[in-house]
Amino acid sequence: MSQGPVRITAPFLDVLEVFIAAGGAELHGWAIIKASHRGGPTVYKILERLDGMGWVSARWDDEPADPNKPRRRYYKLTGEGVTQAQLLLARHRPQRVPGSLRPALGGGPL
Amino acid sequence: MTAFWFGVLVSIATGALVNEFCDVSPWLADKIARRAARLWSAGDSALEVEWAAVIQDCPGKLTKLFIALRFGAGAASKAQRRWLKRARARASRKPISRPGATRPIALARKLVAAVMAIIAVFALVLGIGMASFSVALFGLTLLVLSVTVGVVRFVPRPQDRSHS
Repeated sequence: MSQGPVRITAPFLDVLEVFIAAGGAELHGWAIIKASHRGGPTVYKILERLDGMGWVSARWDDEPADPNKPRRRYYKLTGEGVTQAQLLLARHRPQRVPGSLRPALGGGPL
Repeated sequence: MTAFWFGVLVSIATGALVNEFCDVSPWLADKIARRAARLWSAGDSALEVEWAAVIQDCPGKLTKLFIALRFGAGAASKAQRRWLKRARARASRKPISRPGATRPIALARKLVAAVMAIIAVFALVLGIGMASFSVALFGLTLLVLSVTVGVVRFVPRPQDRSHS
């Protein structure tokens, strides 16, 4: 059972914009931080909120390129998350039309 | 000539130090990020791996360190908020002072008065023995002061405050 966001802040909308711009691709932590231009703790606080609301799903990188490196965690908007994020962005940031940022983000497989 | 060689040495040492720091900073960044993740999630090892991966993905050596420090600051702030919340909850559950219990301030007052009294008696005996009026007067004054500190309650107890 998901619930709506308690507080809608600029960083919250930035993170949603990044996910929408990725066009359904999975994004790892650094990609979200880089694309949203927000600090790591801010982004992870929002990811925790989104996860609690059931707007994002996360999975671990099963086949890391280098096994000696720590594994990445990929995040993706759920079906409900996409709908709600689009509604929120249309209401709060109607002037911005997000383009596809996927190549720059280095997102994982769809 | 000595100043020239001193300058050369300083520049070499500074360069070596900066180089070493740049090489150490990714390792340091990894340690900071892992510790910050533990602090953030109160011991969740999954987040530790994830934040270490974020630091790995971040380009540059010093940038890694700056990003890790930012994670550290965020985690410290979150941990502090969590600690304050717990402390407030504890304080609201526990009564401020039980009736009849000795408060720490009262205990400290008695201890200070006792130490002052010992010094005062010593000074008084010494003053009388040496026939020194000033030392004896000092001892007497200190004795009066120690009795005052031991007997008079300067700060009212909470239950006294609520009655008034």
